[in-house]
Amino acid sequence: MNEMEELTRFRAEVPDGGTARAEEIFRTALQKELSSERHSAPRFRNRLRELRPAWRAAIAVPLALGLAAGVTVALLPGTAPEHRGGAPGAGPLTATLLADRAAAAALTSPAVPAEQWIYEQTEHTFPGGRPAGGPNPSVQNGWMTADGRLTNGAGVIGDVVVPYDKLGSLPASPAELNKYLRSLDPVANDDTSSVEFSTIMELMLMMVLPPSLEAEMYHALALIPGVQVKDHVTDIAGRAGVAFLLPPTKQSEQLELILDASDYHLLAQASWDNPGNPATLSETAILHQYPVAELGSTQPSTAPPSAAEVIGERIDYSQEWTTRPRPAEQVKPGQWLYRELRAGAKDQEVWATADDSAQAEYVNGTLRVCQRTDPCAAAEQWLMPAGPSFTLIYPRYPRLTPRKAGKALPTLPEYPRPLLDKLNTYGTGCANVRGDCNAVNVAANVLTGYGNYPWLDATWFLALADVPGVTIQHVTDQAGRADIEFGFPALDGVTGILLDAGNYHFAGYVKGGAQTLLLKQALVSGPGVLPGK
Amino acid sequence: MTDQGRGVWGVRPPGIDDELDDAAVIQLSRREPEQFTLLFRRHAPHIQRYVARRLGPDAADDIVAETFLLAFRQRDRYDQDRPDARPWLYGIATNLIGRHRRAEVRLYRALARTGADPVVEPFTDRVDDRVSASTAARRLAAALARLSAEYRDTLLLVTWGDLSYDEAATALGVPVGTVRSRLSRARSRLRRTLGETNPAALHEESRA
Repeated sequence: MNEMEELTRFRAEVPDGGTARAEEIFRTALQKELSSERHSAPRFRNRLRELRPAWRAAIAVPLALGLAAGVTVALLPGTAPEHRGGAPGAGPLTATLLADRAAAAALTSPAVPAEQWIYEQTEHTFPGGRPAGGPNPSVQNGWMTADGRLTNGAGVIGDVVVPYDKLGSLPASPAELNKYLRSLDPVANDDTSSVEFSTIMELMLMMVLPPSLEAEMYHALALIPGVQVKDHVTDIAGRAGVAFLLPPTKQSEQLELILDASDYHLLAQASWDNPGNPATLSETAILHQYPVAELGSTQPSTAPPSAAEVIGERIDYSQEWTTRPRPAEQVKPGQWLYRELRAGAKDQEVWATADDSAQAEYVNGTLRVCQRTDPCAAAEQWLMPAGPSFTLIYPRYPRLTPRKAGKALPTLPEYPRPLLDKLNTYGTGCANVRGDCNAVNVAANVLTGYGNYPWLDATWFLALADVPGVTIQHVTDQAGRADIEFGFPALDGVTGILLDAGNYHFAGYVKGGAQTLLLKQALVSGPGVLPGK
Repeated sequence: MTDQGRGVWGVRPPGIDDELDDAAVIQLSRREPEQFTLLFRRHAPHIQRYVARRLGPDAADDIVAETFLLAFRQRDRYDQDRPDARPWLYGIATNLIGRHRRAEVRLYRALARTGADPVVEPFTDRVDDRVSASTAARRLAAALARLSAEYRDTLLLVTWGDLSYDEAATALGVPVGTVRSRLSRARSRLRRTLGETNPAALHEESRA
């Protein structure tokens, strides 16, 4: 998907029209305008304000809304010297001094692998309150990989993507680093200080930087022209901090990076549209951040991700960027699909609807179509013999109707272990349920039998990676293709799920030692119709 | 005012909406000001969406109303050689959006930071507070926040406003070459944001 497609999709939920209120405002004002048009040159904007005094307040001056969070900030006039948590005899806290201390603190933290899952609990303020009335500030739990490539509710997403494996080659001299960060910005922007400051801010919150680089980032911050130190800061979580601060400019809000006042670890980032006015504060405070073993876990763990988890994460990433169709483009349940399957040496052509409610194949030259509700269903070998319903796995979109309070759609669990537990509740004929046997069978069923592939939420693969005893192998399947095999120790049913090693598309499964391979799959207009016809 | 039996809102014979181009409607509205509402009905829905995607639905109501009021006041100066008024109207709307630049940027930043988007929340069924925006959307939001206002206006007029390069140039009052260069640089910024580690898109339906 290219950037223009992504942009077209961005906020596509906003519907056309909905102009009733705008038209009312327009007509009322127009009538007033007409009644006085010949007399004077009326001031439209003032007129409009009279009409609806709140109209601008809604977005531009959210003073009246106030903030629940008590944000207390004490900016010492003229940055008067104040000794805080520093070494005895230290002078006024300067940006350089703060950078030295923060860098020293950063160097004491351990490095983590790029694909390590990190649990993060953050607290956010939304400036001016959230239009839909959600809590403000709100606390959010999320997970991200250390390199920031995968996120699930966590991480500050920055726009300057420095791939993690390139971080090591960033300039180590602070001045050079700033120059490099500036060069990442292809759009002419004469406000270099805010570019440098916000780039560093984003990099520090969108990933877990290697300690040495984080240390350099602090040194680089101190070198940015205009950077100040703000002492006696309290973040939205109420913790005492000190901050690097860049005053507001024409291009940018006031930016702050808040560090713990005693040990100088990163606490929060904040931006003020109107410094001092809490209604214009936008802040993200990191309440907790530590490595965990897997997505969804809150138990601290320094165990590196397994090979299967790394593959699961790569699938997640690949889906995010390449294969996930827009919600509106999802295959509808009744859509016919053509499949070419190979079991043993035998190739088979099968037509089925996406939800496998109907199947068709040629028997002795005659197309036989069978609905699940037909008498023939009992004799049919269904692609999707057991598991959750199609709509549970692929909820219907778009959801453009206004929200209805308290009405949640049924969904499957979104984290690996709870998902496995849920999938294990579907009976797939496992005599021995060891090794999440039912869940593995369900996953193979869904991949083979439901027609939305290549889209199956990557969480499923992250879940499969958590099956006890799972292995990852690179194999060549019986069609000669290079695959990655998730191997399972199950005694019953599916013992392997095969994915194309290049694009992670479903390639087949192994059951009873025999491969069933998906050679081809395509949308078609009806049963018996070949692809491209 | 010549009288053909109207003078109240919308009492023009049906069909006028289809017969007259925008320039003719604007010319007509010089004598019959109320006919200007035809222009509103024609173009407000799309402009509403364009503004709402940038600033949220509530602000859009006001900006759309104000856009047409300002347009109405400037109708005497409308260039009658331009049958389609969209570039003119989008230009006015974009100028008005410019007054809310910081608010717009703040909304992008909020999305980038939290994954929750106050702009689309009113249009979704989600009742829980769970994050749903994709990583790509969050990165995109952060990139939009960092674009300078001129680049963002140009980019969004073309993608969300569906204006051609020429039309965007008219809307912004700049040469078409400027539109081209702004677009290309803004796109390269987005591409960098989204694509630096983005494998080539795969659109396979089959695995032949």
